[in-house]
Amino acid sequence: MATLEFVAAASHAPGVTGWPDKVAPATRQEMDAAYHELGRRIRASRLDLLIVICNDHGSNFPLDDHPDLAFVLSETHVGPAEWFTNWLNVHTQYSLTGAPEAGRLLFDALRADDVDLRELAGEVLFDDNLTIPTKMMGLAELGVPVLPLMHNTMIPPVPRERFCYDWGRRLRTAVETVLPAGMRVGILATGGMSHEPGGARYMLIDEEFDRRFLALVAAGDPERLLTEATYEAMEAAGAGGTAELQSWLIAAGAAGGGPAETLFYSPILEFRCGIGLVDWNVATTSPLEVAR
Amino acid sequence: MSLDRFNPDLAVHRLVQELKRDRILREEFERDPAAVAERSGLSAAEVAAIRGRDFKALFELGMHPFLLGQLSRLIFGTTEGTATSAAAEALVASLRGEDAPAS
Repeated sequence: MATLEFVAAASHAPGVTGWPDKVAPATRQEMDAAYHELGRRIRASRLDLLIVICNDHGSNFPLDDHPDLAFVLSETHVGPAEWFTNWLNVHTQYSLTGAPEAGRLLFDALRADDVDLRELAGEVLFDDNLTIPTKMMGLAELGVPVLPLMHNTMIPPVPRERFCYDWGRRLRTAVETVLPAGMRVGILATGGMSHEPGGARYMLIDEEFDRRFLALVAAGDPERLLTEATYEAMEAAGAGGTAELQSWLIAAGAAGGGPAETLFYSPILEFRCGIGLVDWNVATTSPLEVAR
Repeated sequence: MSLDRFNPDLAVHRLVQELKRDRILREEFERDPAAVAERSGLSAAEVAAIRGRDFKALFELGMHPFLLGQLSRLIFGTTEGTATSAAAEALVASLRGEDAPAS
């Protein structure tokens, strides 16, 4: 069977590549080191497939017909989309090898009545959701096939926290049952932490919420995590943005709940976003432990 | 800021999505936002709000804040600058009921 060798989560924010010089040098150095470390761990995991859970920023679906989740089945993924190049200060587009065959297998295995799961191809717009991990972790240079999974975390109604966690468990089961034997698979969730893009609290970060969320993820107690880190709590910590952390809950479910290692956190006001990176270190977690 | 007012059917959402994909339309919009808004099927209230850089009005009509942020960058530009973000600051000023910058 295929095995899950890597599960991590990392914030994306346009400032990470767009205006890093605004951040205090020591903070920037520590942040860059954490992103690079996750890139190193992806390389060390010798992955055959990396599933990147990207929340869609209202770019690829009509807002009145938005799926819960969608696998991007393109042969290659090119980004950032042209309008975002200045904003992200990424002027040379990257091209990532896609994984459409694996995506179709997972799509077929994960179709269910309680989820609006779709396939997506064609001209998919990627912004900071895929660009920040790609540039900061060197995904294009690694050459590992990437399967983006677009996740609705901002267009109501969004999938709720317990569903996201449970769906992460389903994703792991599907990875281990329908993907080719011997395939080494990683999952990277991107998004969060607290921020309110486009809202009246655009310039604010809820550091207390962020640190509490990281402590919950680090504690490895899924029930407490899901009781406290609700969608409402995320919205209260920054509407329309903080709930990107629900993608972390999919990763947490796939990882079996944790505990996760925190590599970095800083409430970076210059980015208008709390920036955090965690690794569930799943390589030593057996499938049986996850199944319980 | 709550999403309680969100109206997914608001025409300005479709316009912002088109502007992100269509460079030529975007250049027209940068020259004359209200003209592009008018011919894109937006309501008179939406067009008036775009003409007046009145982001608060668009929020109250039901525009999603995330796309509101993108609209502010489509109007004020995407260059972050060295110390401030004109687009973000204009948006927050409007949401707080303060005078929006003229351009």
